[in-house]
Amino acid sequence: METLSNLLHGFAVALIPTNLLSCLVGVAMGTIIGALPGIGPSAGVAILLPLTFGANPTTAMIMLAGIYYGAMYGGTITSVLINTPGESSSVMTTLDGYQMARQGRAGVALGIAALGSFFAGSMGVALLMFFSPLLADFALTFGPPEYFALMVLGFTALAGLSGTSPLKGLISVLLGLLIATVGLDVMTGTSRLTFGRLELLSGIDFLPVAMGLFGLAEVLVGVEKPGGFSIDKADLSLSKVFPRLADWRQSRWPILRGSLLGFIIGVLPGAGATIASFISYALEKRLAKEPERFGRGAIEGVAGPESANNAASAGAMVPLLTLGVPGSATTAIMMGALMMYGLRPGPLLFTQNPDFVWGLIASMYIGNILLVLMNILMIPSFVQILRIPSALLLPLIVVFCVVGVYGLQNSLFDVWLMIFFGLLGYAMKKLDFPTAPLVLALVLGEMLETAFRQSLTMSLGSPAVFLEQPISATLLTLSLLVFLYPLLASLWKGLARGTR
Amino acid sequence: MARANLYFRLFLLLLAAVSFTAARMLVYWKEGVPGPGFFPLWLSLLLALLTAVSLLTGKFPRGVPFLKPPAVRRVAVTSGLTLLATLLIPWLGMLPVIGLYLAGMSFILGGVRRRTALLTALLVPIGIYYLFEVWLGVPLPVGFLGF
Repeated sequence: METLSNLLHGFAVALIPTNLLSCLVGVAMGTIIGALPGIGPSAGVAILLPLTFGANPTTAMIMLAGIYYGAMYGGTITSVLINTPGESSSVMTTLDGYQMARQGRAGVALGIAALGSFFAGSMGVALLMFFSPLLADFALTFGPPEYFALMVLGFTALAGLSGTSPLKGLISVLLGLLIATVGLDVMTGTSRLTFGRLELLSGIDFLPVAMGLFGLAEVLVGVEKPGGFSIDKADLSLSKVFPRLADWRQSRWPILRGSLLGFIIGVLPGAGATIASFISYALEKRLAKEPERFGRGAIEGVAGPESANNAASAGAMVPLLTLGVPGSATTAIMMGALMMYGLRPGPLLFTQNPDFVWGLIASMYIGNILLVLMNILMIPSFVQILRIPSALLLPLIVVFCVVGVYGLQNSLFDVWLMIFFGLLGYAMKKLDFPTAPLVLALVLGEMLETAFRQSLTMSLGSPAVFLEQPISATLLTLSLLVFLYPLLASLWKGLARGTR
Repeated sequence: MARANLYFRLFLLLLAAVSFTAARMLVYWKEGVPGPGFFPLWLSLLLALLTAVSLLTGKFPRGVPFLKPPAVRRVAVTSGLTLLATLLIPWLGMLPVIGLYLAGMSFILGGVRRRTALLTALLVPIGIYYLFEVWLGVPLPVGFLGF
């Protein structure tokens, strides 16, 4: 009952004209960002963050969340029409979505993806609404050792799961943590790793780093290939977008399964929408009566993964809002933004800032309705955006990054930092080092160090404090298992082969 | 690719060494608890250790170039123009530099009609001015031209 009254209060906040407009702009921009190949939700949120300067935190976060889940919808458009995923979580959609387009069913593929995403997104928000307060209450019992262990789990999960090598992921985490130590030490006020530069005294802000790693680096990857995209002519009129009854029959269970699976995977740190869509596709193929249809235009191969990636984006908001520990690159950027606006994500957010939390949750319901309408009525308009030549679009992104980063503190030093991190991010991408753990570590670095030092202060310098508390001991053991999982899995495979 | 992998790891090792040296000058332990030097010292040590492990155990593909020749030119030009534009901002001002950068980039990357490129180079700075300077109140750098 309390949840319902909170939600009603949230709708009152979300329906304020500025918040409604912010939601509309966010979901529209998100759909466009998602549709542009190479620019994923994390890049989109980082690049468009400056648009929220000057707005109040609720309005700003409504827009950023809109960009996030809007990008999940938008990623489908290019997957279906040009066999190029707009972002990594839409990779599985190319397998059957593009085949459907080649069979003249592009409209149905996009339609079922939009309607499935709507269902999954709404269900994800409902689950977020019911589980978040419970998790937040539980998190109130956490002290510094538990928070330290929780953050370590977030890092190892993201490092272990976000790239091909956990070692590279861990190097990325350490780099982020090291960057986070630059500036004045929060506990003693000592200047650290500033090398005499006054600009570094306040530390390295996450925005130049995120914009460099996700914005400029993506542009450099994008300019490698000349030209734009050739789009096949597809009938995307309204009558062709609505799925038929037979399509519904085939899609209803994959949508439901994808929604539940996506939400659960989204909550787990490091897993996220891409893994959710991969697992959903594999599950649907395994459950199908005729698995040979998959890869040849099976509608279940679009409905399941698309529902899963949207539900995952709602699930990813759970650890961000309740624990203050983001589990993905996009939520790490959103957390950085929240801190920039003076809000501290975590269990107290629900009690101290109910307007913000419930306004955001309510706006996600509204955003999902706006998105489904937009994605059914306006698909042809979004397709037109793909016709913008990359020689215009990519420099425009650079311009927006430069002006946005400059606007943060009116400082050209931040622009130079952004360029440095852009080049670093480009090298990392080319050499297969994941960049998301670096941003997450940068955002959480100060909190991690504070929790660590507070824990040792509590225990008079004894590191046993982390193992004496049951929750922190469990979380640290889990971190070790998550990190060692690839090694253990390969050992297990080797042993299994040896016994054969 | 093998050389790029080597250079990148050497860069990380250098970064770790510089951070370690700077961290050693800070207080490591004070009154039974870690001081401001504790975290950066251990982080730079761990970074150096893991980078060394990755350098010694990594299998780097030989004969695969980091970038193929046409892409080298495009990436170098984009990076170079971005650096040059940032250098020019204090002298020319943010808005004229944006116009010149957009025109230059679309000309160099190709595939855009001259009229479209010129219109974009003209209209985007105006849009940026209204969005950032007027709406968001961000004072953009002004050059010797006065805007």
